[in-house]
Amino acid sequence: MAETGKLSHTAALILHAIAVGYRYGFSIMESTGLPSGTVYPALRRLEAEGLIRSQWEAEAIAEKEQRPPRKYYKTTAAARPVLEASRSRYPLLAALTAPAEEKERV
Amino acid sequence: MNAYLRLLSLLLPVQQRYTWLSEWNAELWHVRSESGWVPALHLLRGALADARELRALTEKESPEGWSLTLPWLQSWIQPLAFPLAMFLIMTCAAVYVPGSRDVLLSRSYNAPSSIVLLKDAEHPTISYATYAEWIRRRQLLFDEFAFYVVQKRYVNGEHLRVATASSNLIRMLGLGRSVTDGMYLSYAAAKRLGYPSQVRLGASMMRVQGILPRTTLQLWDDPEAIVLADRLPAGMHGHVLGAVAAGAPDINWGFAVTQTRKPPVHIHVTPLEERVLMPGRAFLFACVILLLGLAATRPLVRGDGRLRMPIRLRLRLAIFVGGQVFLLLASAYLGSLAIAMGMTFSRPEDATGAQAFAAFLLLLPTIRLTLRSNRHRCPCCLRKLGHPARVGQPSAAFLNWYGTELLCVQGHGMAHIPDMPTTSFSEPRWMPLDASWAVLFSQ
Repeated sequence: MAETGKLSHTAALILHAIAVGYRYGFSIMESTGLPSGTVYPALRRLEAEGLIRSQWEAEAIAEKEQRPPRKYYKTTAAARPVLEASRSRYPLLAALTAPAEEKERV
Repeated sequence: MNAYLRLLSLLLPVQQRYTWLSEWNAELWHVRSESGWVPALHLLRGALADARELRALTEKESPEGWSLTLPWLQSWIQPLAFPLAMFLIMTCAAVYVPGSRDVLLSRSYNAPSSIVLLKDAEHPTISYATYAEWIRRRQLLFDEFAFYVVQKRYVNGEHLRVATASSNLIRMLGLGRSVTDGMYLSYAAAKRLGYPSQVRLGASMMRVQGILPRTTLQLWDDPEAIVLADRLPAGMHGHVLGAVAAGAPDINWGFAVTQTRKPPVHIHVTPLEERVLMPGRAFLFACVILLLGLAATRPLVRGDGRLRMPIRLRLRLAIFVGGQVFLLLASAYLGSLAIAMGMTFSRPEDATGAQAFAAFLLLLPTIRLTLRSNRHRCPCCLRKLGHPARVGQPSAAFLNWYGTELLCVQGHGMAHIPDMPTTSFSEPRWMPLDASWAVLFSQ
């Protein structure tokens, strides 16, 4: 697990975006303005460190809507202190990422 | 897009490919349907970085698990893949470069070692009268002479350098029986004229008697066609070839011809072999230098342990290493030929030197790497050795050794690789394990 408050600015921004409700890679890209080559590898690292966890959308929902199931990301309990520390370290995090709309929320 | 993703997924362990592909395909599908092609392409740009990150994380988490997902990396197929790929690339290069393609497609030519080109030191050519006098006089140095003169003439409407030569020229060059009734075309000229069976030279038609190995043979003035004649006009000035008699004194640099009531003529001698590109000889020279260089820097065979192997295993290992070395030699030959012929040289001997140098440069690292890689390979099952274990401390080098121990996963033996080469232990040693160890490797 990452040491509290020691996340890079980019990783903290992505973690914050997930925390405020952006749940999949492309929406995180759009909300943070970061390229896919940064967002997806960062998601892997955050997941490996136990700060987020991924979950596949239920097959039934995807089949009903005639589309492939999507992989969603969610922060874990371990992410809370890290996020707090990151927000105090990078005070503009909240200003950089607006909260997601309702349809994106879990 | 899907093909690109599939290609990238090959970077990942087998177990993770499907999940990774599913995630990316789903993301792409959604982005394409919601935002269009351009954002989808932007999204795709990150796929490579993501695959690499996932691969790095997997390797970090379980290096053994990762290696097990690609068993071919440890098998005997992988070391043959590199020489085979190199061979294919070099073959393409040799076929692509026109000069080397011509050398490969035309018949090989070995110049007779006794034939020399003679040139007057003060004049560019030798008169036919002088040549006629030489063939009349009793010779000590030469068995026979041939004469030719090169003129620009039209052959089938093409302006070619045509050599009119004495009737023995083709025979002296070792290109078969000389036929006076007809014309011999160089490889390039025959190609230019469309490989004709008959050609028009001036007002007369002539039969094409043969095609000369143009890419390997260069006489003075570089004739593109040769016409043999029994007699030539006395006033002509041309070039003379001589066949050095067996047991004749060394005339490598030249000699002087004394003439009655005239000052002596100084003749420069150039062996025909020097004017001929012989790719085989240049390559052989590079191989000999390489062999000497390798043997001087590293032992070429692995030490103890090998002798106790059954003959069947030793034979298999020899075939395996032989196959690798053969592919590398063939690749280096083709590659060096492509490099030498790709560079434009006015004299073929320069191409010979360039080819030998290129062959050496191609062979040295590849053969060294192959030998080095095979030292870390089990001689019994030909698999890459693994499970490295540190042995000893640097201070042990005085009375013992320290370094790394590599183990064959099949339990055939282990290799001891010293970190610091000493006089008593400089090269990796193979230690075979007998049947009593089998219980440890039963899984």
